[in-house]
Amino acid sequence: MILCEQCPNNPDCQNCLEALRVGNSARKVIPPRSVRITLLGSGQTCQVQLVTVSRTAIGLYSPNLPLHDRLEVELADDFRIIGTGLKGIEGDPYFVMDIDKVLRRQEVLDRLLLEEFHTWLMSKELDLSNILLDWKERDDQMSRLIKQELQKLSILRQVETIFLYHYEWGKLRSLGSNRADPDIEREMKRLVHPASLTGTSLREQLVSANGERVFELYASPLPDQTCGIALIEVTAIIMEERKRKRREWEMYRDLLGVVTRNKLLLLNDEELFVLLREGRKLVAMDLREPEDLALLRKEFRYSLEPMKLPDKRLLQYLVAVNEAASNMIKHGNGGSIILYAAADWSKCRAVIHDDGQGIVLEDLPRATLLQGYSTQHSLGVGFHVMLQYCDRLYLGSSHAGTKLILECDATSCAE
Amino acid sequence: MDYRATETNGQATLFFTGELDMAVGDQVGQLLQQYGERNQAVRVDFQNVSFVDSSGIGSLFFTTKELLALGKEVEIVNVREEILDILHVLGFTQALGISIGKAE
Repeated sequence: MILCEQCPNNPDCQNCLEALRVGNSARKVIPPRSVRITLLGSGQTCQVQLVTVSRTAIGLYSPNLPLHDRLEVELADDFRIIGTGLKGIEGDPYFVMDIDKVLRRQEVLDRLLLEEFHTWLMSKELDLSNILLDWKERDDQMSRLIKQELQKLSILRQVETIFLYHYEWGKLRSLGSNRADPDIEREMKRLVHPASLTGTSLREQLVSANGERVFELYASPLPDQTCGIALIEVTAIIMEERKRKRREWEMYRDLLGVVTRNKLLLLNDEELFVLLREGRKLVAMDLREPEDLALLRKEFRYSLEPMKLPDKRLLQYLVAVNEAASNMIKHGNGGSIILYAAADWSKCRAVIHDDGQGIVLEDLPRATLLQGYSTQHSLGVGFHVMLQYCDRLYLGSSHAGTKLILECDATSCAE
Repeated sequence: MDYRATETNGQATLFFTGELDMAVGDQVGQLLQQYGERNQAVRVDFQNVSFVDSSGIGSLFFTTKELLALGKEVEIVNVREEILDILHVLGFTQALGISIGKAE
């Protein structure tokens, strides 16, 4: 068996797949992707071509470095494959790596999940300009060739629908039998027209009028002030990404719950709504300047008097609220704070709504686990204080911003 | 926040009064730096400090660190129990390793 000259692009040749010895589950990576490998014994690194994948083994083309060792393949910072390399095809620099572990974000798997792999593959930037810039003659023969070239890319085969167009002086011509809906075409024309005049390439996201379909628009200007356009439906990809984010969010919620002994709780929109519906509003303030903090503390002291908190406990709660408010002023563009109390004064909640970027989910484990000025002096300290001085912290984050809720029980003791 | 200061034979004492929060943090740090530069030792009196937060004492913290690195002496005295508790939670005392005296 030898490696064919077009490997892995030749659909008639299966040699690279057969060398994986995993049956029919192996797939070619078209076009092959350049990935960095590290030989774990020597620490030597090298760029090689990833040619084939399966759940248990991958095929690598490595003309410069033999891969007979334990090695790590880096697809991304948080996506690595570790395994043992061995000769794939005698006489060719094609190596097969049996997968031992797949490190994907916080997970360690013993198999490569092909869905994850395809997500990674699709996340790579698609640049059509090299193909489209060569397109100078607009005859049908050329159109067919362009389409064939585009469809060779496996990334495009993953998406549901691709529409190809040519734009010339206000006219949009479809290069196939498929056309997007008229509202999308209208929007496309509006966006592409200035790009064709200025000669700048364009990448935009379009949403259908009913909001149910999402498209990526890639327009590459051609030298004669016309444009080649690829419109790719990415609805399913976005849904998948949302699911992944949801899983990630749940993982953070569980992790933070364990680490903080259920003191820090992440809430979804519905839970947040239910929580905020309870209690009556005592104070509502906008916070923009550091000078607003003194007034905030004064208002809180006055409004919480009926709760009869011991002086020390009240001070601690004010310190926690003040830290959250300071963070908001320091890191964001300000925001608002509302104080609620239970009807029987058994507890109170301060709701901080950040207008800025707010708290980044990825920062939370570090912010909650590290403490003190010796490690960091902004969010870390503030968050540590909030955790120490509140009975519970709730965090709700959505596209509308971040809401942080600091809860204090009337019966709680000072830490 | 208000303050007053005394200086005698290379020993300065800064008396702060009121709330040390984000609005006055920089000022507090600058005062310590100013008195620390022209004295060998600075005592910061917290007797009348009724509130501190991380932003309010952030600058004080970093200035103290710089002065200690220059071989100066810094101590914080007469700290109320509830304020001392906050300083502990902020990690202020442990990270600096300086003497902090409780109010009597």
